[in-house]
Amino acid sequence: MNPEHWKRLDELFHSALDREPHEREAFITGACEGDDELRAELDSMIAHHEQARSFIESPAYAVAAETIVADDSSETLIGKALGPYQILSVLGAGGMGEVYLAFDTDLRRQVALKFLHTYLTDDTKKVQRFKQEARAASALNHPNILTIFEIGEIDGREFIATEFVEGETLSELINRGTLKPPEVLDVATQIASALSAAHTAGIIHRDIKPENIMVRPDGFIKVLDFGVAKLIETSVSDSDALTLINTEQGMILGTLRYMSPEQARGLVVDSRTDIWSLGVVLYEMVAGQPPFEGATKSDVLAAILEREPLPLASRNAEASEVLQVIVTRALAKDVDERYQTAREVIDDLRRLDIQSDAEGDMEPVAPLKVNAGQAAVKSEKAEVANTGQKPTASATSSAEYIVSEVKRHKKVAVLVFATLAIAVASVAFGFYKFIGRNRSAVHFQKMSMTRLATSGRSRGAAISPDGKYVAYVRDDAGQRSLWLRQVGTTSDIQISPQTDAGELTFSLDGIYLYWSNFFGDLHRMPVLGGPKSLLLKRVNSCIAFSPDGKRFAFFRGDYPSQGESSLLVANVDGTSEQKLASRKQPDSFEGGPAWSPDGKVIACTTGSAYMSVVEVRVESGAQKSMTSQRWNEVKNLAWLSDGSGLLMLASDQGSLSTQVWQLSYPGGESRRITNDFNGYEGLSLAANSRVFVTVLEGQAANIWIASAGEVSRARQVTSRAGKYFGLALTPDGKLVCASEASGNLDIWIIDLRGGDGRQLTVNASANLLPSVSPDGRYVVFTSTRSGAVNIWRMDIDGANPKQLTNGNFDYNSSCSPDGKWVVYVHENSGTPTLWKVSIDGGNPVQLTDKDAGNPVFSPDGKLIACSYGNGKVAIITSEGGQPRKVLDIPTPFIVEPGFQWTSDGRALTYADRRGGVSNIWNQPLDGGPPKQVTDFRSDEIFSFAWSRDGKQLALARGIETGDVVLVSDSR
Amino acid sequence: MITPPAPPHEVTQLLLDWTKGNQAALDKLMPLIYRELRRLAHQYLGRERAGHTLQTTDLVHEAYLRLVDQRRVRWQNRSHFFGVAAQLMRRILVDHARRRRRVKRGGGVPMVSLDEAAVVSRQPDVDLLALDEALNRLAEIDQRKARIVELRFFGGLEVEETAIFLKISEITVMREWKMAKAWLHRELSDES
Repeated sequence: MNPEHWKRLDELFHSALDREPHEREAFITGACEGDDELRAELDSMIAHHEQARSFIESPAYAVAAETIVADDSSETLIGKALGPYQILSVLGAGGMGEVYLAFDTDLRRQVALKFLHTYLTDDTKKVQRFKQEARAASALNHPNILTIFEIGEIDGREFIATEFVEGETLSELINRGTLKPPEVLDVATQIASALSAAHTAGIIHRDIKPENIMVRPDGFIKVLDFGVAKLIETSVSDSDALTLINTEQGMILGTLRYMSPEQARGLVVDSRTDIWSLGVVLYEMVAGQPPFEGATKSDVLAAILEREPLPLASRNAEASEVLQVIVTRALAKDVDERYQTAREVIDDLRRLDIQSDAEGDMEPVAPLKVNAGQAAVKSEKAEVANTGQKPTASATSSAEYIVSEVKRHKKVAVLVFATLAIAVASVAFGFYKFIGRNRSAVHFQKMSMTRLATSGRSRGAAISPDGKYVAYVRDDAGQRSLWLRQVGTTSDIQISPQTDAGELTFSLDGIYLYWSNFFGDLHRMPVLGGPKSLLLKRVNSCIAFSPDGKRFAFFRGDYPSQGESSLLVANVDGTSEQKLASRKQPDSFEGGPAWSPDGKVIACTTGSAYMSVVEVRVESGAQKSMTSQRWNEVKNLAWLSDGSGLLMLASDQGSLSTQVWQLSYPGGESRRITNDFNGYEGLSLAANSRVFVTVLEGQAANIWIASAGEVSRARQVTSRAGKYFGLALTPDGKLVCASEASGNLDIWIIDLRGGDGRQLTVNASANLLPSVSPDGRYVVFTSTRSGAVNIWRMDIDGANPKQLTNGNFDYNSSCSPDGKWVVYVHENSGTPTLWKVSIDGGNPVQLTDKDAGNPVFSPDGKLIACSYGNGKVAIITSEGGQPRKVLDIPTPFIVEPGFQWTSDGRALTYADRRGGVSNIWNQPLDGGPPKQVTDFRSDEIFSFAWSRDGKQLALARGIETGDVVLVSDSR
Repeated sequence: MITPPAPPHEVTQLLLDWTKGNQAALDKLMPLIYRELRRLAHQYLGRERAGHTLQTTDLVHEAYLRLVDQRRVRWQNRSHFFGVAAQLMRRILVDHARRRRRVKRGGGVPMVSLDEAAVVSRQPDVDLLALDEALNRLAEIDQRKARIVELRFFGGLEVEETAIFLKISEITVMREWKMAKAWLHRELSDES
């Protein structure tokens, strides 16, 4: 069809449709006169327009939803014959693959056929290992272990054929809540019996959980999937499989709850890991809920690693003390204090069983004995009173042992709680760029912080104008929920389990919450819960209420059509929109407005690469800069109630993260109120200007040490989680790190053979990112003690500090192997470049003119590896200039902890932080695929360092946190 | 390293990389987008079965939210993502339809049973493969109309969002959509 013809058709099509049906015929006849082809075309288009109706009106994903979902559960194998197997129906689908019910036409029996997901079978080595394990498991001939008939491959798909068990999973049984104490004992004994047989044959299950235990109607239980967990485990370390496995959030979480502490830590496990999991299952059968729970993976992990489960009796009145003792011993966090064999568990369970049969009661009167030959315990209760200290496991009954153990853990628990409960922390502050003649009173000169929500990652916190409520958004692995906390209490109420909110605003009366989502839909919801309503569209900022609460202001972006954005005001119900002002890129309105207390001015953040603050007069729309200062970013403007200025969050070139600032009005002088290493996210001020809420972004990390040969056996050397800013190892095996343990960011040295750490820097400024000279003589580090950010050097014992650079923003140093040079990043006007300076100071030498960061000298001192340009890793010579080599390492995910050379200088190691779990990888410089070095299954790596001989690896690992904090002005 | 923000959300970075011409980013993006599409489909059916009034845009919005790190993307760039994601969704959905057709052809005539009825779903009302081909033909005649269909049908965008992305008025989007719909309907019907 030629363009003119199409254009004509297009016009007539709409003109015809714009007319009433009875006029249409005449119009078309007239318009197409003499052109029969056009006429026919138009008629058919209009006919199809009328037929089309709902055609493609639903989005494609909805149209294809059924088939997408069907594909997930089955690839339409049903009815097919695969070898001797006739596939009958789908039994289920899980993390491993799909399970079908099939009929074995040779042996005339029903079988369960499990096909492994292709992503699990892509790696032939893993498949081999899996088959080996499954074969070993198939040799297990035990009534409580599911019999494996065949392990094979049909049409390129790996499968296992097993006996088909009719019945339900233990998980279903637990959920129904009908398990009676004798049944619990019976089921637990059968599981333990299966484990005992497997362990004797050298097979560990690794994934004992209720879903893996089938209960037949006759009460027989069958443990499924021996050896299978190994396959998943090895795959989790594989980054490709990780993406896929991560989609099964439920599966990971489900499995996580039953993981032993050593498994959760990613350490090597032995048969005792199964005993822990059995303990968890036993607990769940009695209590109806698993002992370690949490909304997120990290919460569950934290519970497993640190918390003692609630006593069984508090969840089920029928639970006996002896059962508690058995559970507690199975759930001993230290493997050596746990039951050592499944046989021991069976023995204890049987004794309990006999007693309950005899007494018709779970409460034992006869002695309970463990570890043959040890003294019997006369009365459990008496023992509780008598046991004062922790006896050794081998010389006590499990009862004594457990009771003391519970006490010990209680103390620990109290300690942990006390640490968390330190609610109020004073914060150091600094005066910056605050030049006299300010009319604005100094607010928050002294302040105290109270942590409100400390679990998981929170964001978008807002305080009600009366200061009584704090609303915030919790982000659990991308799942956002909306919460409310009444200030002064410790309970949080979930207002909405799912939300698209980011930044929240309270209405002035505190009754409603407002937010604009990613797409500009402004929503309103009652604070105490209820349906959300859509108020207005294309609201591309947070909103700010006028002082009388009748109107609100917001930004509307008109990108990319006009390349501008506008400041608008509307009535509180979303009506009577009025445009006050517009601005073009790159200085358009971006961020959000704040309405002044006298109602006359709206302060707005503007800009893109650099941002600033302008005022717009409400009456005239006239605009004026509020300050000459520009920041990398400014956001969350909040007027002080006396109109003397604003609080806001901003980051400038000299600040290491987003900090709280005060901007005076009308003077326009800015002052940084906080000067710390927390990142602040969001700021919401109460009406009295005496208190605001924000979210503190932080880390809960610990230091781990691993030997090069056995990185899987990393050991944790710190016990209190904190935030670390760089690590280094000295030649004599000490660890130098920057930590906030002193309340300030300081450099510490820790003897890894034991003993306490020693603080090397003692001043109010920040000291971070240490590196150690190869001779172990100096620590070179970044410090703010001069007022600017510079590279400093000190002796290894902290003596003789010396400033090496004089730039405004110099950081991130690395020493050359000959100990003569220090390479570092110098930032000027936002562009970081590499420079080097003598270890004794002097004139620095520029090495790169392009964006670069994270420099580190090669072991021979001839090369420097660095992040370079837009997301690349480059190798340059120590003399600088153009890169010798550019490597394909996915820098967006790894730059934060930087790189380290291997000791032979042939490869770079880096931390891959994709998917929320970090591991160290090794990228050979001669190309070739990267190799995974560590095999952690949880947590992120924030810093790492190798010893110079490459034999030791130090890591700061943990989770990122976002705590809602209430900041009060305590002047 | 010194100003550690939260690690950039993978998809945001990949989308940025891809739009800058990095083809390798696409390979990494596809499974991520597919994952979201699967989630969308499950949620859609879940809500449909539960008898909820369907707000399909809500679902799409949620999916985009999960894909894009809001803190890294300023408003200027946001609409851009919709366009890119719509293109990706089209590719994935069409691949999906193609794969299914292959499976059906290769699998011979399946035995139909009651069990199967529960598992094998009905085919979609719209033949996505045919639509994709027709859309390619439409693009040759009228690129903008084809793009509107891609954004609205495959990307799940509303008229308003489509208008913002294409820098045209909502009325134009509506008119173009109407014409494109009629044309595609005719292409996909037997008579043409």
